[in-house]
Amino acid sequence: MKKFSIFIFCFAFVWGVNPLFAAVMNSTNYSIQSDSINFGGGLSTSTNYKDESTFGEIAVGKSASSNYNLKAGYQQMLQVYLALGTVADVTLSPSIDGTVGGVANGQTVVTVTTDDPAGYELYIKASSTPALVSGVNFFTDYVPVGANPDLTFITPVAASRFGFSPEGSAIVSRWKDDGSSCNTGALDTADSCWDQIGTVNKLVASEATSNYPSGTQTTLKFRASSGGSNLQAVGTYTATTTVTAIAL
Amino acid sequence: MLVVLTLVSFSSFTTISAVEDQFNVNLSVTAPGVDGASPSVPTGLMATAVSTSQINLSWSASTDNVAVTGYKIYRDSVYITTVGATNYSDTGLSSNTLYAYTVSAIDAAANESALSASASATTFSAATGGGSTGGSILPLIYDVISLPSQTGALITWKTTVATRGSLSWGLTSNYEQGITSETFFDTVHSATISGLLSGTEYLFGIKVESGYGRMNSLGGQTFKTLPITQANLNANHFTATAKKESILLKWNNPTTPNFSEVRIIRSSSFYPADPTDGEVIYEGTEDVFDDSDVDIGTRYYYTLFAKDLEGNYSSGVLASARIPIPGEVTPKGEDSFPNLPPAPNVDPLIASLTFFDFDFIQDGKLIATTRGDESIMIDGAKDLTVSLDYRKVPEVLKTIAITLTHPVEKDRTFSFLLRVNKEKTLYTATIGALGDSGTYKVNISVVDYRNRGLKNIAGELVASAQALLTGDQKFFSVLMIVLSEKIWYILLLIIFILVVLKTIKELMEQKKKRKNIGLLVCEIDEEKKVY
Repeated sequence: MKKFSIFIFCFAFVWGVNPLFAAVMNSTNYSIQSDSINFGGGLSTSTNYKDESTFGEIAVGKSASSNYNLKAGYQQMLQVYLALGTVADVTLSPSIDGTVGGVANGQTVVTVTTDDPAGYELYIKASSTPALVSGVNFFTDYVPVGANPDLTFITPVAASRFGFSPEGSAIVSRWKDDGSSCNTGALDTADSCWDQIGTVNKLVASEATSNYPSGTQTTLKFRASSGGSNLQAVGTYTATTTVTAIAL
Repeated sequence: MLVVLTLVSFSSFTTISAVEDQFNVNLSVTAPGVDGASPSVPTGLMATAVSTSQINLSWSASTDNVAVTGYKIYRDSVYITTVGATNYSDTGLSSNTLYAYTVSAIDAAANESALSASASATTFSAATGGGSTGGSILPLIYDVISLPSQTGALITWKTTVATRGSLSWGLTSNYEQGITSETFFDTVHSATISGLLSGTEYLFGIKVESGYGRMNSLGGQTFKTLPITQANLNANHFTATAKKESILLKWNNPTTPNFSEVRIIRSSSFYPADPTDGEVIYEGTEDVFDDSDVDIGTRYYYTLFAKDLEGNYSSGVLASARIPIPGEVTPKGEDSFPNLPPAPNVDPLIASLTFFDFDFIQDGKLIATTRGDESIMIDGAKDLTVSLDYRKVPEVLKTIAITLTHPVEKDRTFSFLLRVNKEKTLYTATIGALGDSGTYKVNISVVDYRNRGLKNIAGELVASAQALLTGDQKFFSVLMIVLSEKIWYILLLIIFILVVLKTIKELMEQKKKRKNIGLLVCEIDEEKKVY
């Protein structure tokens, strides 16, 4: 019976059919707008919501929860706990004078928690390239001199640049340095190893063990710069950025 | 937006879970000179009820990429006012009522920070006011400090609980000369008294009342205003005139009996600020010096200091000149302080100076000024002392110079320095009588060397005609002076003229006598009928 139920669910999932269309559960900050056939139980919790869920449930909908913790999976399968703390927007400061140029910095923190014994990977990507845009105006994506990130952020005097640099205990070797170069050594020198974000997921951090329940923080630093001879159009520039954590 | 994905693998029945979140990285690019950054959020907001109708607020200062210009205060989420300080007394409140406050910081470009964390307080209950119940305790007055100036004093004191106080003062223990009262309840208090006599001891007393109506007083306090001292008299009308190959310096020495000599210091970078700040090019008692050791095309700055018999130097008078390169057109009326940017690139204390911060003193008495009318009436026949309270400007390297423009001859200017006195209480200078009546344009230049800025303050000195001579009166006066100096020549001339006139008269009389004799002879001949 159970195998038959799984078959029905998978069939519905592959064909993009939601078995039920009602918002079945609600709280002040969270709702599951559709549910699947309930076959058993896992535990999904947040600070504002608890859901005794089952294998095959797909929680689809808008979440305003400050932190969503998912524990899903078929009861007979390996259960994976994976949580990604809500990532705050970044305001680069100070503002840059479009005529005389300047440098603006900002950062945000990404916290990934998983009980997956295989660990997790954290990726970043931008929604567009160039990433930092204001209508038709933009900051040029940062392009390192070589294949590896640049240890220092370089802006040509007549150009603009926008890049990022991750910091934290879990960053992968690409973002580590030896004091003079990146993708070598074991240092995590502050404000070092800059690269563009890009529209393809770029691996930022990784751990090969469970970090549950404390989680691991990775700081994403962003920098925009306009050279002294560059004339940057006035406006509010935005880079829409996505971070993705995957349990391994 | 947080999205959770659960992917299912059919073959192994394991799950691959992924979570993702999207966020924005924002940046403002501004037009030239536009400040787009908001100040930091004020922290540490505290609300303290001090009476049935007042709550005091205080918080920590915010920072800004340019400068924080003020703080907006919200009561129960409604904006009530903007203040420049990091504290505020909210009055007119209802008793026994809870009020919640938040504060935000703003800058000159109207950028506003986010609101601070909320702080609340409940005003005193009217039932406990005026009595001795509840938290009502006797307020104690302590840390009374008086900072006298020449014509006033700043009195500060503290109280153990928030109080509203009044301060009375006078020459006797009746404190008969005045009273000033506070509007707000606070634990830190200050009162400024002005219009006092210099060098005089005053008595004052303080009365305070807490928000519960408990009162206390402290009397018998004293302070003595500072005496008005006259700085060493400067030389007058110091000018530097570029000649073909030299610069001619002229001045009028002070006429005081203790005048010793002058010292002229020269610099090619800026006006020397003291008697050792440059190259000494002249010392002596003459009133003219031709500086021939100069390069064509270089501007030279001269400061002339008058020394008294005790070796004290005056504040210094200024002049500068430059021999133009052949063929060069020299602009007329050059700025006294060229090549310096104007305010506001100066220290905030300097930037806030006004004409009324300067005291003008004659005969040891402060000349009254009228705020809003930057004109000072002075006696043009008497020495004039100009002073600035030492505390009104920061202790950064600076030059304070005053330039007067002649009422009629607009190209004729006279500049002098204000220098700190020995007691470090004043920046001061004394100049001799201006000599001519009329309205002298005053430009006070404060050069802030640290910030490379210049603050200019304009005003007027109206030299009265009381002791001066104008029009015909002046003409006759000048004539009298000339006559007194040339009296012997004039007397000799008069004697000579008298002698000449007498001689001419005698000659005329002799000639007439001869003619009369001739007629007489002729008559005699007629009588005798003889020709």
